[in-house]
Amino acid sequence: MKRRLFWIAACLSGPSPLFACPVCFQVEAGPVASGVRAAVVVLICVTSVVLGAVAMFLRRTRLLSSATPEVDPGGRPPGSTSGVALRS
Amino acid sequence: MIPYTIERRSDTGVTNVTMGIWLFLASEVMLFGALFSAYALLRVSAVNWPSGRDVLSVTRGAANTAILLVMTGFAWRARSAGDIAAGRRRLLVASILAMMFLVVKGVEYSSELGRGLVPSVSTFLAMYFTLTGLHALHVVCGLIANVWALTGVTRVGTEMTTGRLRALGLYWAFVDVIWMIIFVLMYLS
Amino acid sequence: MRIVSTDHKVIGLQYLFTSLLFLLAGFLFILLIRFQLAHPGDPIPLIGGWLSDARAPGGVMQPDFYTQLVAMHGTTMVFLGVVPLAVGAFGNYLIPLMLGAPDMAFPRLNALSYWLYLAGGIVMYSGFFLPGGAAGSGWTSYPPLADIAKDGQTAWLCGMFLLILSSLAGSINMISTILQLRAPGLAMMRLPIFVWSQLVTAFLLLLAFPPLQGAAVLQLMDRLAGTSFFLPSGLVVSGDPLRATGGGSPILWQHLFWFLAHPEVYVLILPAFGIVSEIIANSTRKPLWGYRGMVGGMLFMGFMSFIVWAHHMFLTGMGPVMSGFFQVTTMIISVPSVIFVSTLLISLYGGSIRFTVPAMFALAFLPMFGIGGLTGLPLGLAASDIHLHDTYYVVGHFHYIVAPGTLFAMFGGIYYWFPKVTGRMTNPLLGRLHFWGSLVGMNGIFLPMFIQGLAGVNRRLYDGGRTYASGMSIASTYSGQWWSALLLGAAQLFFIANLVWSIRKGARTNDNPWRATTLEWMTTSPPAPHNFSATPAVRRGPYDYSVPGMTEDFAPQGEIMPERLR
Repeated sequence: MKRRLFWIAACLSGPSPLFACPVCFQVEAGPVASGVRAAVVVLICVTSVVLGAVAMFLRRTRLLSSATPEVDPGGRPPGSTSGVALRS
Repeated sequence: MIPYTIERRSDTGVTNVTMGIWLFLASEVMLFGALFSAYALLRVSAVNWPSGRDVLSVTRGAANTAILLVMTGFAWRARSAGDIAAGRRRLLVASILAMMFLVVKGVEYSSELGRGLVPSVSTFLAMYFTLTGLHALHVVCGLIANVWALTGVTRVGTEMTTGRLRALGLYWAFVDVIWMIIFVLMYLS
Repeated sequence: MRIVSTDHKVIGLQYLFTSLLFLLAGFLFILLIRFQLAHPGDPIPLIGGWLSDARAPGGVMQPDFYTQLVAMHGTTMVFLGVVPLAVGAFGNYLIPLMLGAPDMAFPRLNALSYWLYLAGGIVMYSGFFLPGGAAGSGWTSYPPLADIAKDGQTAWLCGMFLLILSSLAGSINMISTILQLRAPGLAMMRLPIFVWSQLVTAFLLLLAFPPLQGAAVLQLMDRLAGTSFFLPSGLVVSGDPLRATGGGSPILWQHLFWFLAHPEVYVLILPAFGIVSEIIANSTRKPLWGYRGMVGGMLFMGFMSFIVWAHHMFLTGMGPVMSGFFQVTTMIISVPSVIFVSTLLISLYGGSIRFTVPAMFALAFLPMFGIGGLTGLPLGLAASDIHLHDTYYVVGHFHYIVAPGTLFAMFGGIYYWFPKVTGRMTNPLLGRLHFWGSLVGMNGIFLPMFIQGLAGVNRRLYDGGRTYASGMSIASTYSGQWWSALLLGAAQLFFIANLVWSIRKGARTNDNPWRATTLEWMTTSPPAPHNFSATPAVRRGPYDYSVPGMTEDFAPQGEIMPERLR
């Protein structure tokens, strides 16, 4: 019973290590958390730019549409010309 | 077995070489982007972060920036040169400029190391040496690629060399952009 | 057959044999680990006497050796086993064939990627021969431990550097090939799902690995150049203050590492989705339901996988805002996986299922991946992750996905394409023994892990947590896991025997024994060096099975046009 009362008192006695859940350790805006936030923002921005470029390429080339390719099957593969140099 | 061609494929609009170099550059953007992200974390969370001007030589950095800008101009124009000979000339000039960049960098490094400014002294210097060192490594590898493209014309022919010149022009432009970001982050801020 | 070859089929087989050997090595490590957890302090049977005194004096495993085994098991399976098998072996061998192309877009780059992979693996394993042993900081190489660990960690980092170069070379090749070398008529929306899965996987490898390359360079700088990218100020090691500059952050490593390692897990699963889709379409004799949904799901999964990584860092003190953001993105990314599995399940409906050995593996994949995926949800929610992070629950979750998930798909793929590579069939009885032994064995090992994790047992504990009350309460489960590991090992013996025997003595078969529609079956088994006698012309989608009005129950996707009509 005494132990229980002790722990209840400890919990209720204001900010304490007992509230130190590892999501933020009760430090909402410390230097490390701010640093991580900055790093995450930078990396997400860089990634978004690169992925955006990939997405734009896919849209521009309309590769994802199910339209049949303009080259008649049985004709030349797209892009090959008479000036092709073969290498093995 | 894979036919080499500088004609673009009709549905993607690019050649194999162009596709390859853009993909490679995308991965390089992620590499340097991650290092810039590391820079952000370390700088924002640092108690003290020196101003680049106080530690590094802005003059040398600016000289290198100018050298790279001119070099990129030559490398870019080597892509669209009318004939192979003109393209090779321009790439040769670009290569000489890249070597000048490395010389200036080397002078800078020896000055800093001589003054005891080694990577282990501070996180700022660690970041500086890593970023510029990795960048310089890319310049060295680009130079090797330039030599390989310049000397291979007789062996592989004009079509393949044209493809290589196009790829290298893009590569050097990228190297330059990365340098400018490094210059701003490390030297000027 | 030349050893250094630029033929994608040779390179694919090189990847296959090397990755299977590494998988075997990683499995041997787990036998040691499982024994130790079931019988801590007992001498290892049979091979205990062969181990040096530094590792296992008197055959009793030392804690240091245990952590090395754990770290190298994870590293081997992920980086040296599963991904090279899924992408390097299956991807390299099959993609040009499925596209109707004579080879990959950059054959010499392809060869380079294999040799870099082999070199990277050898460099990493050289750590075992260094004083201090192999890397022992987990497959995640977390600082501060990884920064101050013995030389084996440097070997790990150098090996990782080479592996990442290999991976980048391979992914550039894969994307270029898929986009540029498709046969005439093969529009993107006519590609087999396997090809789509390899395309998205290659993009993930291309864009996610470079940050780890950067991080590896930074950690090497910390270890070799005395920098402190990841070492905070004021560290004390074994009672003595660490002599380092300080000012760094271990969280920086986690940030960069998980940026790769989360897309990496999608790299582990996407080729498996591709293989399972091919086998199911073929075994049910009907087209896959929801092709566009699958393609869209994979593309969406690929894009989203780049913005979920910090769900591995919920307990690092990032704060509720960051944790909330990553929790939301993680919940969103669970949707495409569900779409994928659901479309495969719906595809089974109305099918006439042939229960061949590959089909059994593909069918078992579905519920096993389901268990793995669903158990990920409490981990993606920050609140429940507080209790489950770094426990055996996580280990159970990802092993269900990778072992009875991805590895089953890989096994199924090996049985399915074996006739294409060799012109012979595997032995069905040995295949079934392999299947059932593996299924029971894997479930026996991984199912108790959820219970252990919920009880609170941490990962990577040499004694299985027995010093803690949580470990003592579930200690009885370790014994069952040890027997299951032995059963799993025995099942693999059937697999090895099957492969070895069938290569020489398997029943000879025609070019298309499974009566499949995709382009790789339109050429000889095994394919000629240049793959096709002439460029195929593609006229249909990839899964024209049981089309009403046709005499055959399948229609090949393309045909080889005779010379004079081209």
